[in-house]
Amino acid sequence: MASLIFGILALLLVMVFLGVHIAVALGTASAIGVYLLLGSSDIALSVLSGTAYEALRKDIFIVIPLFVLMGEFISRSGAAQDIYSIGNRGLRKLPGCLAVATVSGNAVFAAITGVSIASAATFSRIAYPEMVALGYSRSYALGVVAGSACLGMLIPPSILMIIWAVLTEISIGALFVAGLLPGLILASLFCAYCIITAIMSPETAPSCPPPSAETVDHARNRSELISGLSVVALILIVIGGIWGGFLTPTEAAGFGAIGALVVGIVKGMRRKEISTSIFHAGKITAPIMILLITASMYSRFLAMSGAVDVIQGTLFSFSESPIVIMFMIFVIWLVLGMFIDATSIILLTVPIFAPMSAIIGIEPLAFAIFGILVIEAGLLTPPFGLLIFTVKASVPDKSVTLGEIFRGSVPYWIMILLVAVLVVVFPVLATFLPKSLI
Amino acid sequence: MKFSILIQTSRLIHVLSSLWILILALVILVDVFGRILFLSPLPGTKEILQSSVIAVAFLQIPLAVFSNSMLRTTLLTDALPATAQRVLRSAGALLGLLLFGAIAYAAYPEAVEAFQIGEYEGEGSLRIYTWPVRFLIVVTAAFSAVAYVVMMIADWRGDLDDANALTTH
Amino acid sequence: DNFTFRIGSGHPKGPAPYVTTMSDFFAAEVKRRVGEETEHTVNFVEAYGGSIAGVAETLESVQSGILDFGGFCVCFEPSKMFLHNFPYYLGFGPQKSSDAIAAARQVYDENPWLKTVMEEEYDQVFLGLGVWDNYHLGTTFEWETISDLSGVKIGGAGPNLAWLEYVNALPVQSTLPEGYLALKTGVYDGWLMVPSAYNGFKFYEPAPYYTLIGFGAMPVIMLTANQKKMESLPEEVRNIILEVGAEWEAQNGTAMDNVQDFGLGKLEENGATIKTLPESVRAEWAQSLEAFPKAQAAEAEGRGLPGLAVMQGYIEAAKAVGHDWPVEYQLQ
Ligand code: NA
Ligand code: NA
Repeated sequence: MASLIFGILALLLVMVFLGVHIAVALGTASAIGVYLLLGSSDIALSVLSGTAYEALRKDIFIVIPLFVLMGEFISRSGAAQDIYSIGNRGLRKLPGCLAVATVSGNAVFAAITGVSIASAATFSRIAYPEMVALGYSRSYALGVVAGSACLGMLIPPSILMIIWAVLTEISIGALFVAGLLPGLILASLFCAYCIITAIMSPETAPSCPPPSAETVDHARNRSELISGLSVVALILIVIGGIWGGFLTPTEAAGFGAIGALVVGIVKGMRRKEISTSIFHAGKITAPIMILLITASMYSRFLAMSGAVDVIQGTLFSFSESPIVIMFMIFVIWLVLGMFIDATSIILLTVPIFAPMSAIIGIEPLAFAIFGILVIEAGLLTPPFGLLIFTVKASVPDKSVTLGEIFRGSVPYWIMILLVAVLVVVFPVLATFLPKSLI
Repeated sequence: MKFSILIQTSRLIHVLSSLWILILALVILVDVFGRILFLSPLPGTKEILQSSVIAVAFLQIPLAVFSNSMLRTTLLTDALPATAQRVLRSAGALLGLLLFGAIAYAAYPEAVEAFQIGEYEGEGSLRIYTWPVRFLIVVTAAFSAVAYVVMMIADWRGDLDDANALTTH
Repeated sequence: DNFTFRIGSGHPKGPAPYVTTMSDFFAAEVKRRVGEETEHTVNFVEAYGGSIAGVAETLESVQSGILDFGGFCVCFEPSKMFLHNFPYYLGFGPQKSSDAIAAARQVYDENPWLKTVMEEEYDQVFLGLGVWDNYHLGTTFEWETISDLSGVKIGGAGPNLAWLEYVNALPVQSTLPEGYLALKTGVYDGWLMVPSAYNGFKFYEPAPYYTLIGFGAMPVIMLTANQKKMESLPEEVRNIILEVGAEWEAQNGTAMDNVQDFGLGKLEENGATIKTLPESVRAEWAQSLEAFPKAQAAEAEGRGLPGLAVMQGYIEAAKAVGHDWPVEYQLQ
């Protein structure tokens, strides 16, 4: 069994590296895997058709196209330009100001969706062109967009946290709150990195130009004011709706899309621009959605082959030392993160790892935050880093390469893992807020 | 470009499904305003969203194939000679043809059965029959399989750029 | 020989008690007995929480052989298992799980079609019945009178949503894993749910007001095995599986009675406000459901299913185990 599991993993890798569409590679590998596992092509076919119908059958998935649409409207309306001009003015004195603004903005957007790829897609369109226009290095700009999208899973509502809490029977409310402090620490680290890099090598992130005659132009000020107010209103409706308890993420996404359309019309978008936005939103969404479907086929193959049992047995046969066990869990999550999506990793591994961590004495909230961080970091690693591909598919500049995005993301990957380790070493980071608030 | 009719069709269904997303946003708006202002949300919103999200995803696959926007990594293959790259692309397209062909083939009898027994989801608020989406998966998966064949042929004819040009807005 | 079986369900082990018993009782017992009583051994690949098949796909996955064993609520198969949902159509039925499952067992024995249809149409062997504990209503706000529930969006599995018509609530079909966030954001303000799962899925956090209404314990869970797989097994292994399936059903009633008590205790411990619906309101509510069973029986008959026999059978069987129906349902 182990040889079959690792064989299919190898096959998948080979296909991905030979340039096969990743969705196709995932689907094909899982069908072959199921066939070899059960010797029945009928069952292999059933897995394909069953997953095709069921994998996305949840209304929550509609947030992906809707938030992409929202981002398209905002970025094509010119509002994003205006917002970044405002941010530019506000944070102008700060080295790497637009990157810092991207970190904050990205965290906010990811907090709306609970699905970090949607915010990566949105910010690839909004933030990346602005940063490049200001002369930021491409890799630096791409890295901050991809890296800071990971913040979303630490800020509620987070789908990963809900799945985790239900599986391990810890309180969802407590887990939500537990993520706040590590999330803020991570965001501060990101900002510090952006600022320090900008100071160390100003050519990477040139400082914003001083106000020119053009920026005191009254018409332009008015346009920026309208953009600023309407986007703030939009974010207030979307985030305020969720936090205030009026809207689900799905509903907030609906409001976001329509609200952004209204902003676009106010900013002068007409039928041609609107239809272009809608057309392009679809082109960004489609590859992500099909990837979600086939990733789900693959996670089903792993569940069917009992990959989890193989892994648990292997782990305990090595050692029972807490440090070694935690290190092995860490490495396994990193490796799985290279191949499959975060939800599937949680579904497949947490039922085994959570009891193991309890046995070796790790605080459950700290373990959950550690796990979510490490698994999210996997979205940034090659060859299958979902956020990397999302950014690649979403940036308007088609000359951007995956390699550039991967390179830019490495510092963020390191910082995420650093905070993950910090949370295990100092569990109070995760438990302090829940214990004092609840 | 001989297959332009296919590409035009994929563009058309892509546009329709993209518009459908905007309409779904409106449906959500009506639902929420109904709930907050008139204490009467739109019945069946959740069921409509659930079925639509699959439909939209599948309707957009053919154009994603034609426009070469399916996600892939070319880190390694970029270093190879042009012919080797072409061979690998064709092998990848062959796999795409097999995968989507298999999905269409396997989903067809299920769609027929769903139609015959009148399978539905949702109760109380609204019954949504499953066969329209199931047949849609069959048709769009088959179309995607064909798209891979077209791309393979275009690749060997040197028509890839022409095909790509047809997919832009 | 060594057999590896895949067993799965759409609900997770732990928060959903029927899944816990599938794993801790059924799978464990089959493994133990085959190991001890035959020269074969058995291994289970356990895939709960939808990691192989979701709540609405488990029946199909057992049918195609993706799963060898599956446990599912027939409530997520409204078209294929229309009549198997009969306990939902007869609200305010037996309150204790042990009574409900005993009554349902009698109906299954008197109407063997309920079991044989699984083999004839869905290529799977019926192994045993499972049951939810008694259904009540949890809400995000405290309510006093029925009119407070008017227009409120309330989630539920599907066939039980008809119970809400009386209070003019707006029913939405949903699954347990989606519930927490929906309640948290206030999009749903209530959920029709049994204490065990209400506690297990932590609905008491966003919706701490739990009103004991007693729609009844629902024997609507089914444990099945892929037919081809069963036929391929040595007879002694097959017999052990059938026996353990029956034992699984037999211990489910008491197990779920305990789960109900445990769940209510836990809810209280976790800070939920538990109230009991006044008897007069409950009687009126039950009365309001009078037309529902008639309509469902007629629809079943219209589909060529023995709706009258099955539903009348359940009414009588419930009486036989000592249940006092608060409303005398007339099916014709
Ligand atoms: Na989030
Ligand atoms: Na189903």
